[in-house]
Amino acid sequence: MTAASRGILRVVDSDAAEAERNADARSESQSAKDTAQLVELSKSGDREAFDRLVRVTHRDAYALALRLTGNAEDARDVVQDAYLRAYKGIDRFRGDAQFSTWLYRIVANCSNTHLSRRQRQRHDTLSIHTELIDTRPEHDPALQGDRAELRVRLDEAIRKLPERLRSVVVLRDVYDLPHEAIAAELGISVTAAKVRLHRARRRLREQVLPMPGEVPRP
Amino acid sequence: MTGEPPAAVIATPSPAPAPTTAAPQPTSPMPRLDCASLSEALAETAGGDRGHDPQEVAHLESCLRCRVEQFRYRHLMQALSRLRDTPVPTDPRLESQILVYLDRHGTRWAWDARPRLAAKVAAGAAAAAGLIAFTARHRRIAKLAS
Ligand SMILES: [Zn+2]
Repeated sequence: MTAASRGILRVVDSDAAEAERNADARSESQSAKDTAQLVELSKSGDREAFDRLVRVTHRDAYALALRLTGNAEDARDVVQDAYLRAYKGIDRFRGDAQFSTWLYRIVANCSNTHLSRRQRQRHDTLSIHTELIDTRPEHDPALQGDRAELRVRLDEAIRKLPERLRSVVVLRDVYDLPHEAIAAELGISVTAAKVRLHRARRRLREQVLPMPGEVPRP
Repeated sequence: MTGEPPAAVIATPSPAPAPTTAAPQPTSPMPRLDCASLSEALAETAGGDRGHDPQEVAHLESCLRCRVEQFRYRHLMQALSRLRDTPVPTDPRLESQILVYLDRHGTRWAWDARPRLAAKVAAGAAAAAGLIAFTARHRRIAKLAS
């Protein structure tokens, strides 16, 4: 291949990437419009519109519930409750926030209620997981492995965090909810939410990207 | 991964020097932070809610170990923010399970119509009670008159 043809290919590639980005942006703004329309119809009592809202948002809501609860069964219960609450409260949803953010807050609140009820049981499960971590060989993963591997380790480390730490780090650092919203949905002060967040980040850093010679705390 | 100092350097932290005298140090009015304190600050500043204060900046400039830790926090935060766009395995029946749950617990009739129905029943009962009372009174008056 000549330098000129390589250059042409690069231009074609960058044009294709640009076109793809534009298409993504268009479809994103279209889907935001569609969601807003479905919300309006749902507010006027159109149950079918709400069903379609469930169809387009439930995977996202479930992903958050799964990250907050750490298991599929709890996540399903939380998501069902969250949609019921969203359905009953759709009149109270104001268009100034994104529907997804509003739904995330409801999922966070339902998850908190659900997990408080099952706290004792979950505590036992976490103790078992913690023992498993301690037996893993020492390594320095910051200097090796790819993104996919890091994501798997991170998902695992998040799942093994105590609930009170897991919820704040997921809501803040993964789903970008403000400290005030997190504190309100979890029923704690903003200061407490921040303290938990910093503790959670530290634990995750120790587990996933430990410093040389550092023993991750349980 | 590039840009990280070699492990041999990383493993050698540079702790704050122990004071040799109780007398105040006019040339360094700020007490130096130790690595443990800076480590706490790194967890706080990782999300960008606040920046580093001058003491923390001074420590970072002089301590390779803490700069490496800072680098790892950045790496962690990027990985966390990418998680949101990572799909999780979802049961294909979930959507229908949610809809069935809504049918069972959240129909408009159950939550919106029920109060209206209750109000109608209450109004009907009140009207019937009023009619009975009126009829009884009318009969008593008729009896007294006769
Ligand atoms: Zn240091």
